[in-house]
Amino acid sequence: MGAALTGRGVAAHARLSIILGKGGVGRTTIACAFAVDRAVAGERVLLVSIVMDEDPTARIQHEAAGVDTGGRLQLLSIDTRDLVDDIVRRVTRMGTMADFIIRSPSYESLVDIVPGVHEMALFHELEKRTRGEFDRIVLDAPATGHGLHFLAAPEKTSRILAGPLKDRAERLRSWLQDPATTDVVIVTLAEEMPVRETIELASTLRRQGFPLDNIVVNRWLPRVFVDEGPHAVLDAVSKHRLADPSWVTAMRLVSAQHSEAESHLAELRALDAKLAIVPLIPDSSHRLLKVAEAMKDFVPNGGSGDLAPRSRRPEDGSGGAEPRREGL
Amino acid sequence: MTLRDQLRSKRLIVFLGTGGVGKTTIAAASALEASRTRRTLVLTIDPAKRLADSMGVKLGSEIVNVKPNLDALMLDTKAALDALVRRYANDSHTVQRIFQSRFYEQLSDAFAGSEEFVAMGTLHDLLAYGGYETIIVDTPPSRHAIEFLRVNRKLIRVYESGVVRYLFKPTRFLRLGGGYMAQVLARWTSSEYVNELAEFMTTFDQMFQDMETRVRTMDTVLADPSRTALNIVAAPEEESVPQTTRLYDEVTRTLALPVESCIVNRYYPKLPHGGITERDASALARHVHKPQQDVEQFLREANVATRFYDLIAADHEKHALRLRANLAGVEFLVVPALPGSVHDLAGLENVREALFG
Repeated sequence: MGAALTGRGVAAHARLSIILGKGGVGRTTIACAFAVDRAVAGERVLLVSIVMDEDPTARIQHEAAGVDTGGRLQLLSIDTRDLVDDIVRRVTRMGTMADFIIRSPSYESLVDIVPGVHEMALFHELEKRTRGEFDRIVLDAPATGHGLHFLAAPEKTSRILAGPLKDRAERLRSWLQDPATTDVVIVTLAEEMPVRETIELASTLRRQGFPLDNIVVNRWLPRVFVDEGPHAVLDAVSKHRLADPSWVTAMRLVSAQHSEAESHLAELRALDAKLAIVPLIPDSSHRLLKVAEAMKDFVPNGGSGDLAPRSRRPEDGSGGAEPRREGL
Repeated sequence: MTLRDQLRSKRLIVFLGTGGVGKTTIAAASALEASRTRRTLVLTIDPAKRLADSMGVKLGSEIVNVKPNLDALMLDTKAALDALVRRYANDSHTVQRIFQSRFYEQLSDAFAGSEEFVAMGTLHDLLAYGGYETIIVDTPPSRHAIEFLRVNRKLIRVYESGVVRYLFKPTRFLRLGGGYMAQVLARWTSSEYVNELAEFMTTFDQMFQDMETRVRTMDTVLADPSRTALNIVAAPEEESVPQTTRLYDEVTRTLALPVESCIVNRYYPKLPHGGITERDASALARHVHKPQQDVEQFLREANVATRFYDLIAADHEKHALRLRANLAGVEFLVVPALPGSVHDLAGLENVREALFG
């Protein structure tokens, strides 16, 4: 455990866990559950979200109400545009003159036209924060855009940059691709479009050298009326009008959704990645812990696959409050 | 105005919404309805080929006739942009320069809004010369959707700002803002990059000049409620509520355009009390003439499935109510979920029936 967290001489640095997923698959839920769970387990966690996407504060207040994170969970909402502006101010070294540039319409066009500039600014900022007071940074990645475009930004920009900025981009790229420092998780639903996109994303990420071996299948439904016997009984019940027709439709919906999910799950299994299946869990004050429980054998940490909260280990007298120091 | 009335009176009906809410299906089902009385085209700008799938018709960048009175176009923005460059660039040398540029290669990254720009140009021509009474537009997922509506204003502004001259050909008064930035760029990036960027911007700037009239026309059409109606498609799901609300706010506040209706798609209606009337396994087995053990398994699964369905239905109701509260004054249409995915015209006909009765 300690080795996984501190491994390969990066003891003083926080791990980065990047949670990718299109809008609507529950990416923020998974990111929050993971962050809360890690904090409960004793890690000092920074959960980062992007302004414009969902702010996880309210969700954590509602769905992890009363969960004791020992003050180890901090939330940060980042506006990448502000980061870009700051970098421009520093790079141009123009003082107030820089504000003139930043406010001009040409500047906006220019910032938009340089590929990956927002992503680069974000990774730059996150990498700086790994050298702070945290054990882990959980990034609820931007919902828009292809996950690949997002992660490939440093590589892309390094091709057009020169000098120190180029070096910086290259260092960020190796950091993101190093399984000792970074985990990449894709959250998906077992439905046609999300699965197709997940497969495409996973294979491209791997081809490009990113450490991807974690996929979370969210909102899983139970297996019902799939076997011949109960299936035939449902048909008969419907035929003999022994149930409300809308109830029969409802049963067929759940059954169809499960069967479709099964076939998509098979496609995901073929990816040979660590899969966590998270059932549909109702919105409640305990949801985030239940979600984390469903992911417990899975967690990305670059090795041990152990999500068991350290504080529950009887032999851990310190309550696991300082996992980062274990390796020192 | 209700969606049904829009289909009888508007020239342009736009569907906005976040990804995965079934926007394409709703647009296609609305097109089926519209085509009963008017000559209709349904245009999708979503890069996923979902419209083609749900229409059960293989589509390319050409207009395809789906059934009498109904055409569909799944816009391949890349091909359409190539065509535009050929049409608007001054000479074949310029065309070659643009095509060979690495910016053009990754244009959607390099130049935000390029797909929307192309889509807008295509839409302009279809409205002006296509001969359709109604055009239904299925926009790309939400943040892009807002880009789609905003692209005209943005491009006009970029063009008016004379970005290229400002940045790379500084005049005496603009030396500080413009020339300096080019110098900074040159210091921090490779010089080939700066040259290529300047050249690319110069040629595209020329295209913008030629496109300006079309772009301004579309801006007027989109902002004209007598011709255009905007609708939002949403899923009754957790993430959809804040995303849809934000989309609605951006459209109505930032762009000051009205939204007419909100379609809540794939809704699980609450079940009436009761469910199965016979809950005793042996009695039910006698009724349906099935083995007792199958019936017992059925009853167990029915319990589980009902519980999960109720869970989803309760969530859907809650999220739909939140949407209704957030999008006050907008017509709400609820489309119940149908077993199995919509993948042909018959499936679309069911959705049309659910939407318009």
